[in-house]
Amino acid sequence: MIYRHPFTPAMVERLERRRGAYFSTVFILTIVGTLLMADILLTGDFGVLEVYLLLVFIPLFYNLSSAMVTALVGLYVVVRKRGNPLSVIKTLPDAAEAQTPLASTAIVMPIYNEDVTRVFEGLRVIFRSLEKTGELAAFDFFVLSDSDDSTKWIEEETAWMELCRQLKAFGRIFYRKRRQAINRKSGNLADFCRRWGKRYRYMVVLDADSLMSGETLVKMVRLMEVNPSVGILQTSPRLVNGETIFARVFQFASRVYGPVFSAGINYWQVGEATYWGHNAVIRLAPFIENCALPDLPGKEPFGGRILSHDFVEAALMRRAGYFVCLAPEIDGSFEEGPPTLLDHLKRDRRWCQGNLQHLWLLWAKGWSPIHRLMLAHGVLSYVTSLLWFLFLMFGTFRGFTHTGGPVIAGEGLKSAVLFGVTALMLFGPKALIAARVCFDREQLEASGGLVRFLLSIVFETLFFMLMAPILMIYHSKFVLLTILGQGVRWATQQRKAAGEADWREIILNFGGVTMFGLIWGISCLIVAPRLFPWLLPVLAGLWFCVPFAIFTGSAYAGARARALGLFLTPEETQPTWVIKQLADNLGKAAQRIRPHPSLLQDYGLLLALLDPYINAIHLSLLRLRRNPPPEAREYFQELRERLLAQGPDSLAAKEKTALLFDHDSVNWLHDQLWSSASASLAPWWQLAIRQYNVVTAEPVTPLYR
Amino acid sequence: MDPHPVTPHFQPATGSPEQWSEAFARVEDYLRAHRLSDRIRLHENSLHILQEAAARHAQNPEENPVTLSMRVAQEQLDQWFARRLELENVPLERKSALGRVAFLACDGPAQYPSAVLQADVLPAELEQRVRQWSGRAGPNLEVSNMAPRDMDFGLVTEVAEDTWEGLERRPVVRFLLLWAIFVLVLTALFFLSRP
Repeated sequence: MIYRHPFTPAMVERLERRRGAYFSTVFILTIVGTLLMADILLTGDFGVLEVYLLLVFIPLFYNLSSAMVTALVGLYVVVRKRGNPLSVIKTLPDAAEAQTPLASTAIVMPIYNEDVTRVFEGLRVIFRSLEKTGELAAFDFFVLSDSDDSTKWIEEETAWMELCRQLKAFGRIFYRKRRQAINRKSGNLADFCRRWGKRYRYMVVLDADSLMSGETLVKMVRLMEVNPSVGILQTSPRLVNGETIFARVFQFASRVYGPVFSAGINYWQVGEATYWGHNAVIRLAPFIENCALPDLPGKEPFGGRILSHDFVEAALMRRAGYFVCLAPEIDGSFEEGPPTLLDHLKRDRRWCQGNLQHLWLLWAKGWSPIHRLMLAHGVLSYVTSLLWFLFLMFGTFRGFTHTGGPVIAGEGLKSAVLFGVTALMLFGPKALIAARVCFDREQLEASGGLVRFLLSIVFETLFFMLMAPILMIYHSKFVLLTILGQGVRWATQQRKAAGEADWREIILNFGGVTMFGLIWGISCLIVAPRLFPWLLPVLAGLWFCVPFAIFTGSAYAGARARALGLFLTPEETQPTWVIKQLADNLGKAAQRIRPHPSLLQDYGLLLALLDPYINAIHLSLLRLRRNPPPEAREYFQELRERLLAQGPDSLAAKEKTALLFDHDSVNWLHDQLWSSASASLAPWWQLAIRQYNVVTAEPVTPLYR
Repeated sequence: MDPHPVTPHFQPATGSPEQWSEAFARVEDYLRAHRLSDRIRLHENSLHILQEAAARHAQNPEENPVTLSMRVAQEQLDQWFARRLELENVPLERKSALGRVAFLACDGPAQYPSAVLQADVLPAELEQRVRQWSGRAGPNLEVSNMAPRDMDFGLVTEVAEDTWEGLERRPVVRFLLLWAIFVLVLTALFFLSRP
């Protein structure tokens, strides 16, 4: 087919057959489901409400069918010994692997106010792992920062210097901080491509929480080398390092079901897969030439710059004639998931907006049909929540108005059949995949044994049943607000001890959902009590939203679950070298002396202005501005004096960042802080100097070695 | 600065003992911030700096000894670090910053913490490494042009864009449209909820 070896008509035919079978099955199932639903609705009065119910039911059932067929196909691929003969991994036989030379590759990590220790410890482990393969010479590392938090910025610079010093990696690990974070992550990557893209043949994109083994990176580059027509090679990263119940359940579920679903989508996507934005390798020359993102018609949030860039970049790469491949068979690629429900929803809010923007692109010319379909799937993945909500609302109204007749899906044999089919499609693939693990002795033991594994499956199913209605409400809200051009307000977190959930934040954010669920449930109970049992699974999720968020967000409960052997994954029980090393390093880093709490907020400023070495690192990374205009000098002088006399609280975040970008100001402030009489400085600085002198016996850096 | 003997007596002609005591503490802290951990060397360097400051203070007694001592310390450190590198046409403060970074990057503070301010203590190997150090935050630029290609969004998008822009230009129409939708939804709900 597609790759370097001859493009045989037999392989093309095979792929066409696969796609034909896959989509035919999905459409047949959707039609069958729709007919069943229509039959039920036609038994009573078929009015406007029934038309609405049927209309929203079709895409919902299509989604369900598509997921089920993907899972079954994936299961087929995973179970059979040959795997997927059309997968890109088959183009690199073991014998050929060692003989394929590598090409220059940049490992890039765009970051934005991330946990600095995690970022650089992750890089340290990847670097060491690559060193062990003996292929380090082909790789350079780039940390591309858009951080606007001055403390993070200074910590990043210091951590970069320390890491380079400790690994003797100057000229191998680079750091770039953009003055203006234009177009966020995609703009950051484009900035890298424009500056240094020509130096490398490939770019491996990592997220701040990504982790990849050296062997995996080497294998990916080799796969790209033997397949010159592949533009993007995406791995299927596994979730690791979850501490809360929320993160651990996602981690467990993604470990059990993820490989099967990835194998399923890879079965019919083959060379037209999507790019997930990280843990992937990209061929730089065609990426630079073809994948710059156009602005969408209209303004944000619906138009303007593209937020979910990865899907579009994959489609653009394919449009340029290159293939986008998923390689779920490659191990050693990891990422971390959101620790709490709230974090998950905040991420979904961004993804929802990004995916809805793709509506503009659905009719654009030049896309491959598969990529056009996947853009539509992306839109549908959020819109279905709204459709499900509407389906339930229409059903409720129907229940209210047909108090003597059938409720949501009718009653009797027909509705029992539809209910059974739906339940089978929802839970059947899950059960089959879980059963497969039960027959895989190695994975079963690594997941805690049969009893613990089955218990984990039951709890995980309950978890997702409770979470689904919450997601439905929030996704519906996100879709509506995006269409109306509105943002979402979140109550902010109070600082808590590590692992402790903030009840106030959760109650403020989820209290409304609980109220809505109560009103909905009580009105059902009063007006249409026969409807109530049907809605109970949905209502339960809404009622218990607050305790669910509190319990699942607790790291303590997560640790207890782990101690009980629940939600275990092979990556936890038999960690690979990179996972173990990262955990060890982070454990040591956690034992560092913490700064005084009242200095924490502006600790970066403190370090950059007080510590002579960190001050020098920062100055050496700044551009020297010769002859600044008098207005700028006056502006900075006023800021500097205010900072010294009144402390950092007297400056806005942007003013602090502006000062830190000004070479002369950083130099002047360092001199002044050390040479001024204590009484002339703000109390904050007096405390900072006292604290700094106490802890400065050891180098003050975000790294421990 | 050349090596100098331990200076046990410091008797400034001007300034109060409290002022010089604070100046001593500040200078010592500053040198400690350079990871100078050898207490004898720290004491010795601090007193040496204070002696220089005291000499200047005698000529200008209005100056605060703390400020003056720190200025002397910073000057001496700037010059010492700037001497580590051979850079042309670079201002002293920049040169000094680069010298500090080079010294740090070559493990100077960890391996030779007492070397700071000592002219001939740096071993030749370290001296050479520091001079040759050129750790930069990024490699040489090789600029590429990455510009978006023209994209035909198709007829549907064009019509949608025109409508969208039209609505944005006419806030009254947008306002009326939103209310019309709201009224329609209410009407639909009214009829849907009737048996």
